[in-house]
Amino acid sequence: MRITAWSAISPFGYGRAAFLEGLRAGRPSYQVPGFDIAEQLGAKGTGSMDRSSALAVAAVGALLKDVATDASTGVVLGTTSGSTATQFAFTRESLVRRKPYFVNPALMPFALMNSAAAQCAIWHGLTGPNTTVANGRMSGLVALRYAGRLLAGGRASGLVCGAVEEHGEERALLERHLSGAENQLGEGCAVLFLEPAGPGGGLADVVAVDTRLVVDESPHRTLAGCLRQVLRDAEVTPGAVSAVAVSSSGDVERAAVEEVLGGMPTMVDPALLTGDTGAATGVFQMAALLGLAGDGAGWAVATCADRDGMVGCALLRLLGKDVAG
Amino acid sequence: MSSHRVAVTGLGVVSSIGIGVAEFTAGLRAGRSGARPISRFDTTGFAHANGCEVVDFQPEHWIRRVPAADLGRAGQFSVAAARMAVEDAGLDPAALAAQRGMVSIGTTDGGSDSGERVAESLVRSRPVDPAAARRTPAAGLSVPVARELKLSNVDISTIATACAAGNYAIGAGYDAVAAGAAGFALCGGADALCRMTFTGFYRLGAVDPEACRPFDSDRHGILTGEGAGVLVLEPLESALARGARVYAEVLGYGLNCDAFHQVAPDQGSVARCMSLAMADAGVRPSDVDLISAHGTGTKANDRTECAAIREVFGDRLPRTVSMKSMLGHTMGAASALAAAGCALALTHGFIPPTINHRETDPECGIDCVPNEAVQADLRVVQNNALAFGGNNAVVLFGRPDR
Repeated sequence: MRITAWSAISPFGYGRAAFLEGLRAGRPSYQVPGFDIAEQLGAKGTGSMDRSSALAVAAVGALLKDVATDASTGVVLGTTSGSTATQFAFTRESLVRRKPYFVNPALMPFALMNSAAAQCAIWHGLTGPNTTVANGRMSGLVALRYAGRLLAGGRASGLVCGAVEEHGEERALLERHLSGAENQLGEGCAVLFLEPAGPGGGLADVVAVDTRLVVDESPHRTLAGCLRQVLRDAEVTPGAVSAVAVSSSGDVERAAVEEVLGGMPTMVDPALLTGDTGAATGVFQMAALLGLAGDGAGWAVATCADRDGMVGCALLRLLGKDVAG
Repeated sequence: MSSHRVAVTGLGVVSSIGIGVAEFTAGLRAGRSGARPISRFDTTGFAHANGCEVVDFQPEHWIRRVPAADLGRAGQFSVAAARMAVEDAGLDPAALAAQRGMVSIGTTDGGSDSGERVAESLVRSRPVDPAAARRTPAAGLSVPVARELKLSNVDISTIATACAAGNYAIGAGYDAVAAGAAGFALCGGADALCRMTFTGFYRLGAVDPEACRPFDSDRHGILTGEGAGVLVLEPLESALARGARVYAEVLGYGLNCDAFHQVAPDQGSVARCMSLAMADAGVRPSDVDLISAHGTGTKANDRTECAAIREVFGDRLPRTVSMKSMLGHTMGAASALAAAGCALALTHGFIPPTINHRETDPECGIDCVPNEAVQADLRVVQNNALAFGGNNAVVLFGRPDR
């Protein structure tokens, strides 16, 4: 499966260039600057729209300027649990109004986890498979692998594949209890366009994805197993991997990379600058690998370790300028 | 890419009409109703509040390794149903752990029943229960399934494609097993009764005060329900080689999106999804013996879905039933429970009825097998699922010896 385009709305701003400039400049930023839903998408149909859906609709809109779609173009989008702010707002209305059902009915579909993917389809006319995966920080890898199967099975001609996470006090509250700490949270939406690998151009091939649950071994040993698996699947030597993007600054990913790939690859850690972008983390990592590689071809890896014991990685073959055309 | 035929060899069921395959089968045959007054959340202020609640679920019967208190109710349902399904398939979890596998659980609400408890604490200025907050992530429906069964090398996903999510998850499992990427898949759906969903449908005027009457002239909407259905999928040849009972074969599936309206289904798009599924499965409309409809019991759904069925099947309409008449609308679990029902119908040669039925709406115009199950020699059964957001998923099951 081939990545032929990408786009992002990140705490550094709108589009590829803003994201990559932000990473290069190394100045932390945590919220998408000036993101107003009605300003971005117009007032029509957005009155009750949740921030996650709006971020996704806008990011996908930018992506689709660069690619051709047809009736079987679909969407695979990752989230942690949808828009927490919208879900909490709905419950609040039900509890404080004179009757529990005096809620804004227009809010309901936006409170569902599939809202962002469905809105992308509705706004951009994408009638292919439309799937939401909800696997926290692992969502990028989960979406990528799921998308690969849809393409391999001929169920879609091309897929918008990405993930989105919104900033908000409701999410922050849940995160405090989930992590037991005050982590710096970020937000945004990163999206790739995936097509079956073929003779045409593109940015990178997704060669292998492997994910595992930590059961008997330690987290870093389990992730090391994933790394060895993707290298074996692709018949790539550890020394050939020139860049790694990690999902967090914890020890697990660095220890696994050190063990399997040695200390040599360039390490990228977007979350260090954007804060924890939740489900969107993995796709931001891939965007960073695609963008920062410049014109060079080579092998790159994105790793992930989540607090629920899931670990995983994806192996990308960056195609370089010649193939990208 | 290798291509295996895919068998359904195990079923795990948590439902309002019975827990476990035997009770669920008996419930479907008897046309049992799961409807009762909702007790899971405070329904004060609603003029009516019937739902299809699971009342006799004892998590400790099924959940042995993962602390049940760490799981939300939907997570408990999915873990219990997965454990049941693996046992029903006669599989040893240790043997599963030795191969690459898949766990895929569909859901509408995920951990929202816990999330709304947190939200309520905020509204009432009470301290937040940290345990409730920890139960909210939707990944808590799929990851604990693997943890419970000690499966490390598994592709794990929670698929949150609302009320079609169960079929989406079954499709994901089918693709992984058919391609040889997974030696087995535990896939299905789970949801717990949730105040938000009930309130939303109620506000839309889509909750029946009494009972769910799909395809009836006097239907008034859904009853919200809860539960889980998990299917064990494995390659047909290895299932036969180990002497497994094969309930059904997954013949194929179709996915598409209306890309049209958030809550109103689109007839043409639903029809296309059925055609996609049949093309994938290599069957013609005349091969389909039974449709397990999405059949929510709302005016709009049943009318549109039946019109889409007519568009695809012409004058030769297969009998078309709604198991939601018995189970309520169990959201992300709905198409998974219905899939289990389809597999059981194929195995035992009967059609689960559409209960609470008085008079078929001429606008629906289908034979919904009213009120009483009938014996039938079924070879191919189609399971429809439609979701808010225009997300459609249709799965076709066949009798393995057909």
